[in-house]
Amino acid sequence: VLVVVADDATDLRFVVVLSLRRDGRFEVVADVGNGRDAVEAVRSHRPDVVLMDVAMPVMDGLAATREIKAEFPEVPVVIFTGYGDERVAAEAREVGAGAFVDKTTPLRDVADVLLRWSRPA
Amino acid sequence: METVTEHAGRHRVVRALVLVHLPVFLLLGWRDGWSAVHLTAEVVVPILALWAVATFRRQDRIAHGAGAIGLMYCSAVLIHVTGGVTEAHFYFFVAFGLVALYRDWAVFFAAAGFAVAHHGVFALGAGVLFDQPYQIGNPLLWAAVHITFVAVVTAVQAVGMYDVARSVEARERAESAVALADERRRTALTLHDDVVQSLATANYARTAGEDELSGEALERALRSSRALVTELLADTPIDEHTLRRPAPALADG
Repeated sequence: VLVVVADDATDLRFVVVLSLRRDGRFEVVADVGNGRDAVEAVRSHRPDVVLMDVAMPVMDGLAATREIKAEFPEVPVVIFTGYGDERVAAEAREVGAGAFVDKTTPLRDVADVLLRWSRPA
Repeated sequence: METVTEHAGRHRVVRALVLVHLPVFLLLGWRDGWSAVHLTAEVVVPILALWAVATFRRQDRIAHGAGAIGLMYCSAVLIHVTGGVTEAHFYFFVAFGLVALYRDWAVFFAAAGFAVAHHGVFALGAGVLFDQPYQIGNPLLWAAVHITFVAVVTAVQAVGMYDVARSVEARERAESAVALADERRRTALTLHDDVVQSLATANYARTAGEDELSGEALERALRSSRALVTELLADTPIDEHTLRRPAPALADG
């Protein structure tokens, strides 16, 4: 499963990418630090799923998701955020995100969500 | 809040009105055969007022004051050239209304002072002030009546200006408080995100066996959470009373 990981927290992104690579079921084709770069990465790599943080500089994850879904409706986006708030989840659904995962979720469960939402090969 | 553009627009109206009077006075002078000295006396103040408005355009109070005096002088000229008809006196009150739009006490009181001085001086015989026989027979009394009306209008306008100024101040304070609250909310959200990101990183790093990274993230979370609480409690008094815990801290429990 080809994954793009977008998160401005460098260490967090490093650990998530590391874990996904170790998992063996994923290939992280790009890891980026803002929404604008995430949109570009999707254009370049056409991943099977995107793991997207919300609060990021340059372009936030919700705006980036809206752009991705407008241009590539077939690419699923999983929102991955520290704001475990129903209002943020509602916003995520509104912009077309497939799933909403809180950052308190264990990494193996995050991986399962990504696998479940990834588009079929 | 009244904007600079709105204020400038009102000033333009006053300025244009003063300017419009000049050709009217020239036409009246031509029709009635005024002498050069007479014509000059009628137009010199409005011209000087327009000059001052242009010269001091970056100094609001002077420019607005000049516009106001120009307009009041035009009102006085209209009383003079109409032979003191009552309707010409009304023009002063129209001018007052326009000058009040500046929302400047000094400018408004200067205009009111001009009206009072004009009526006082002309009632003492300096020129035509009234056209009715009963007023001409007792000009000081009727000038005093007009001045009283001017004083009442001035007082009412002053109260209105005071209320507007208070409302503007209250709104500015409220807007400032809202902006500050919004800024603090943004800061709190950012700090909250930093805390959660750091704790999530620590947790995930521990799961991934990256102990050093996990420790660093925990330290970051500690710093961020302290900053978050400091930010949230910025306006809260901290003293012996508030620092006394109802129960021991978790770490001690």
